[in-house]
Amino acid sequence: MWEKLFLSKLQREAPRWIEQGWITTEGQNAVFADMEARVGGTKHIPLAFGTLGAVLLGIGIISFFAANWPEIPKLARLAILLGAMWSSFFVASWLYSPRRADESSIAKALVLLGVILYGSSIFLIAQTFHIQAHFPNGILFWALGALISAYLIPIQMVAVLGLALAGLWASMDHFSAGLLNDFNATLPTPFPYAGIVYWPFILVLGAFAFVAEKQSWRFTAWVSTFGLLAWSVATLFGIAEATYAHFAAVLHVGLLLSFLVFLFLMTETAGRALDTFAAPLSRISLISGFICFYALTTRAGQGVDDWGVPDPIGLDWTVAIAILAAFAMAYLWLRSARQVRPSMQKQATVGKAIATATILISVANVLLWDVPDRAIPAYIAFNALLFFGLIWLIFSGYTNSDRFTVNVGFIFFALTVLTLYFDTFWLLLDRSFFFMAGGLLLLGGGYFLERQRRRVMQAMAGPTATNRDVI
Amino acid sequence: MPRIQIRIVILAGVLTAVLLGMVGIKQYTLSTGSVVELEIKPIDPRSLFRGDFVRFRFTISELSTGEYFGDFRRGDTIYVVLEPGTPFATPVSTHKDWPKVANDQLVIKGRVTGRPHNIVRIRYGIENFFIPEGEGRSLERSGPENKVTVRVAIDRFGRSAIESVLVNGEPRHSETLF
Repeated sequence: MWEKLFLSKLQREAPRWIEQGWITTEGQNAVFADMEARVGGTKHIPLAFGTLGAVLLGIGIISFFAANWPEIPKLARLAILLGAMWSSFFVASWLYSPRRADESSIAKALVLLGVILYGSSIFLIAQTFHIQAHFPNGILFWALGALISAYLIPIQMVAVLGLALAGLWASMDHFSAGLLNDFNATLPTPFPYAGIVYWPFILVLGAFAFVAEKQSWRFTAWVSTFGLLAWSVATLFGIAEATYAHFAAVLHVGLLLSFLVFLFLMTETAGRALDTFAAPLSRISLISGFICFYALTTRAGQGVDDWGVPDPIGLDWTVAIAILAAFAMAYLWLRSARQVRPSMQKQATVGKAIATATILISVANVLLWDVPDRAIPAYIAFNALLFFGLIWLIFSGYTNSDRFTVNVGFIFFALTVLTLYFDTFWLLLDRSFFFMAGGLLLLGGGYFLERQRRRVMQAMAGPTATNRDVI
Repeated sequence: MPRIQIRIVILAGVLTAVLLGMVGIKQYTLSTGSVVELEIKPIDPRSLFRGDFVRFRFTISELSTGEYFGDFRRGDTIYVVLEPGTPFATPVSTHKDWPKVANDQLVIKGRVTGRPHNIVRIRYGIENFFIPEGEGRSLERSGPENKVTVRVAIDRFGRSAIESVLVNGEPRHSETLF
């Protein structure tokens, strides 16, 4: 998809480059020919159809045998299951031969089918031979099979299937083993010390991430990063108690952790070492960081219910936040950032100043948590910092021609303005006036923000931009 | 053989080993284990995910902590010493680690699923038994005229497997490899 977009952009820009004498017509034609060969619209169709076919065939085989299961002798069932899996791998192996290079997409789909059949065999064999174990373990063994497969025969779809299974296993084992039947409900995870911080998932996720990085699989890298985010959120909220103070503590930790990951990826060495994961990690950490930041600008995020007396935040959370803040500060000021262009020095300095102020305010907010009347100054400070932070983010995205950053900036800006309005004016204005003014704010603000966003996008895309470029 | 083909064979081999391992461990328990008969209280019916099965609750599924020592929590591994007897095996003691037992006694391994009041609830992994569709009802209704019991094999590691389900002392379903 990206190559197609790049080609269409090239086709728009090239005439101007020829006109300027920067490239020749022959050069242009050679580039187009090369790009078109690479884009080649139908490249992914065999794989897509093959994958769909593999999934359908897998479901068909499973449901056929499920329907006729009791009539088939036990050993015959075992032979059928193993035979189906081996046949799938055998045909894949045959299609992988050098003489059949054109059929490698089907071969990949057949390996995927083999892994699906392996998973269904786990459960059917368990049923046939009355093997009862902790139910999520079956899914774990399936995920591990997919992992071995993705490692030995690099097929991205198998890795994605394995990651989805790993997510299912972890959530069933950790949270909801009991939802399937109440016999499992009564059993906690068999892994030691995994009750709150579910560490086994990180091992499996790490193994998939290793394969994704090795194979430069971007989609798998994105899925893995989302898995890491989901695990982090579940873990933090699992540790926290259901109080406003602990909610605020989780937000502080989330903000600082996201910030650390983002900073880490800004350094030269990390950027180079994590080629495949650099984009998903930095983008997801940017979003998660701003979600926490945004939540800290609300009354609930400041741990205060209607400006009442807050619960204590606890020494453990305070120490954790202080340590994270110290790391973030050290990273911000001591580590060498990626080469900053001279024209962007001022922008980098402003960014550093906003980040420093945010870290300091976060620590101060937690340390002074029990001080009476802390909430209102903290509320104002976080709102002001988020406002400056978003302006900086949009400006930074604009100067780096990074649409994603600009869009994130505008979305959070709109969200912040609306929340501020609902959070504060609800108490100050007459109800009917509140709704009328809110309506006007939504209409006018929405129009204004979208116009500004499109203007920035237009400026980034250049004078020949089409409508699609400014979305 | 080209490299990719070798890798596919390795993959198929590893996955097959896992699947056969599942069957192998089960058969090991059945073929080497000592057999005892357990008294059961069969209960309910059906799972959408796993076809028809009967669910057994044994008299050893709930042990009173007043009679058996050990401080157990949910999720703990528990070893129950059984005294084979006629007609049923009876529990002697519970342990957190593998216990030393007399020659005629057996040890069955389970996991603690709950600790309501002075009771330890235990799961041994022999609570579900898959049966052909529609045949579950007769096993569920255990009563004076339809007495259901289970013969269980217990291997030297404490693993257990249902060897047969008996109705009025006659095997109704037997576990075989074929």
